[in-house]
Amino acid sequence: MKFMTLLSIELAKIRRSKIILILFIAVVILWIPSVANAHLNFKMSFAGISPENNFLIQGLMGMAWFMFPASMVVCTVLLAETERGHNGIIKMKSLPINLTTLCLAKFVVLLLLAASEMALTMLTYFISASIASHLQNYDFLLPVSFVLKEIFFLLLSAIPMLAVFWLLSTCIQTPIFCVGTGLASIVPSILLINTKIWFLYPMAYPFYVVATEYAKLSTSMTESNLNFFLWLPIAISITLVSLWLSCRYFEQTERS
Amino acid sequence: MKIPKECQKIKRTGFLPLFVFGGLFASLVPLLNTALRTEVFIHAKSDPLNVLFDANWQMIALINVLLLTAGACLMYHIEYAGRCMEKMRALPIKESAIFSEKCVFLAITLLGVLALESVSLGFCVKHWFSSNETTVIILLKYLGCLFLLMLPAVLLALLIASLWENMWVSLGVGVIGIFVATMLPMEPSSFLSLFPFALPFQTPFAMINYKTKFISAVIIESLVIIGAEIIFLNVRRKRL
Amino acid sequence: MNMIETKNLTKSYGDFTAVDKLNLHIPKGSIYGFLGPNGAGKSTTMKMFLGLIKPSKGSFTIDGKQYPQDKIAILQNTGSLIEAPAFYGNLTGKENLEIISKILGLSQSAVAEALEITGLTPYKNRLAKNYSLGMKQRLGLAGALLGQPPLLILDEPTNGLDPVGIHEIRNLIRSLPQKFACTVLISSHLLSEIELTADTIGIINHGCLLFEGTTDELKHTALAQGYPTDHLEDIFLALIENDNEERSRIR
Repeated sequence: MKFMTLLSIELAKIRRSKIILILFIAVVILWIPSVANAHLNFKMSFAGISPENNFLIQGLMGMAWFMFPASMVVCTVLLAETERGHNGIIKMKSLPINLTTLCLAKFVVLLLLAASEMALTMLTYFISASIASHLQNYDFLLPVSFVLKEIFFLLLSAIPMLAVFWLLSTCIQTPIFCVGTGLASIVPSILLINTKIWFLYPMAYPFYVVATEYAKLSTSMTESNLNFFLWLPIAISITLVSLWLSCRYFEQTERS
Repeated sequence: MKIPKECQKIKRTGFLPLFVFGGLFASLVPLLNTALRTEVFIHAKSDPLNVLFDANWQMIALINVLLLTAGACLMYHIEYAGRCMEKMRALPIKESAIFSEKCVFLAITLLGVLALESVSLGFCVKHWFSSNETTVIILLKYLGCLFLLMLPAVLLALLIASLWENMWVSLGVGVIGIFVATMLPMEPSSFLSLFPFALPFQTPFAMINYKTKFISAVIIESLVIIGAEIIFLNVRRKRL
Repeated sequence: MNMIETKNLTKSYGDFTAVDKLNLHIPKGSIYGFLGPNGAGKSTTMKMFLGLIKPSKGSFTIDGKQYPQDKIAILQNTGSLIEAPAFYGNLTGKENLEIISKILGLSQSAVAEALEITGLTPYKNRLAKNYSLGMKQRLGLAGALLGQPPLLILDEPTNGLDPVGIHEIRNLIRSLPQKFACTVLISSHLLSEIELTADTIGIINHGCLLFEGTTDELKHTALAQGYPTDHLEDIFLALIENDNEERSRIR
């Protein structure tokens, strides 16, 4: 069975789930205060960051710190519950499918949901930046290529975190423990990004990346470049190990 | 007799272990924070508990609100997933009574979590600050304040959970609610700090300083949320 | 030639043995009625055939294919309905079948055909979660019949159906071996149900096979053992009761 066919099946399964609507509401709520408080961006001169850069980065920080990871936990619940709800998974397991491929297809759906949220974030950014520009008589709009780069990097840095969330949802069968652990794991990221071992904690990656971009764009802050030499191998290892483990758990067809 | 029924329903769902672990996890925050930054804390020219609340409460409160949202979603998920709600509707029990039982149960569970966190804060004061001013009575008083501030969030989380049969929708809406709370100004003087999910982020000091404001907000919000739940249940019953 | 053969197939959970050294012989092209009271081990056995549960001991072959080596090949040629019908509530009946059809690599016409056979065509665009119990059962059956597989494993397929529905489905199952040249393994706890459809019967109690053969052979066995032979239902009850008594004596 081709991976793409399986992916299209997995995407069909989340029809009418209202998940895109939830993600859309989340990003709209993210930008509303940014538009309402757009004038505050002019007071950031002490940090040496331009108002338009501040407008984008502050929004992305709000996204990366809580909303994005938390909404991804919600997406894992969606993927798990769609299968468990009416025993759909039993039918799936009694069909000629490679369960590892099925598990990976589901993870790709999670990635696509994350990408959709990022795309919605970008779309609503341009709308809100246009409104803020109109209200404040100042051009808050940044070039599309720059915004795209920032958002793409944020999404890329989130892949290890998504792999860990996916692992949690496959290995923890009780939905509340899975949700609770996922949500609780987001909280320490704010502490960990200020430590030297941030790269050991995948939930801190997106926030750390945006915080680094903030430092880069402001003149008053010491520029902290990402240490790819150490980060990249660890991030890739975390992703691969999490995916491998989640496939193993998913394959365990044994039911108690 | 009514509370144990809810207690029975959540058996083997991981609800209680999650709250115990969640409570312990939140209690670790002040312990670790004080252990790592002892000097900064003990030299602060403020009441020890004030220092500890300022340094830790935002994070602890976030864990608490996440816990109560996840817990509320689960409490309704078990009703909807096995179509138990339909069975409940066929029994001589009002749906509003189910809601109130869940409220009481969730609130009591959270009181336990808050108690754990208070013990942790009390330990920090005794161990690192060697203050004689902080007594059990004061800690209990603060616990009462925190519990009161938590009530509208408990009610709102359960109202959200009861609205949708799919857990991810109620969880998604709950998470958005928490996100809104984290973005609102936290100064006790601000009107926006009265948003139900934002109230648990307030410290007992804010509550004591703005007693009338917060107590009336808790009462009004609780009544409004209960009213909204009753209206929702009536509308749904008519549409069945 | 047997479609399914099991050799000392056993499934244990801790010290509880759900299926105990089962030796089944299901002839190709026949309808095999798998009979037993609730909790006898029927569903567990069927789940093992589908790879949903791993056997603790023993082995089985399906159409000469070995589990677990040929699991995918077995599943490719097996249509199944296990316990309560499994489906995606947020999708319509047709969409649910389309998913299975895509996995099996079937044409669009297979979905329409399965909907037609099970009488679901008028309700194909309704969300599966809004289906009645009988319609859900028909949807499960349609999913099993998709692509006319050579083997059908049906766990209590008439559950939740009204008498007219039961009659319809029974006739449908009866006609399957001739129509599609397939083998049907059908389980039930009602002998009257099995009696009217099955060619061969297997009776299971507490995970052990008590009898395997045709209805006539069952009558002969009953006669030899002094059980009442007026109704097959009585034979079945006597067999189970006798087995239960023996077990309590051993304990």
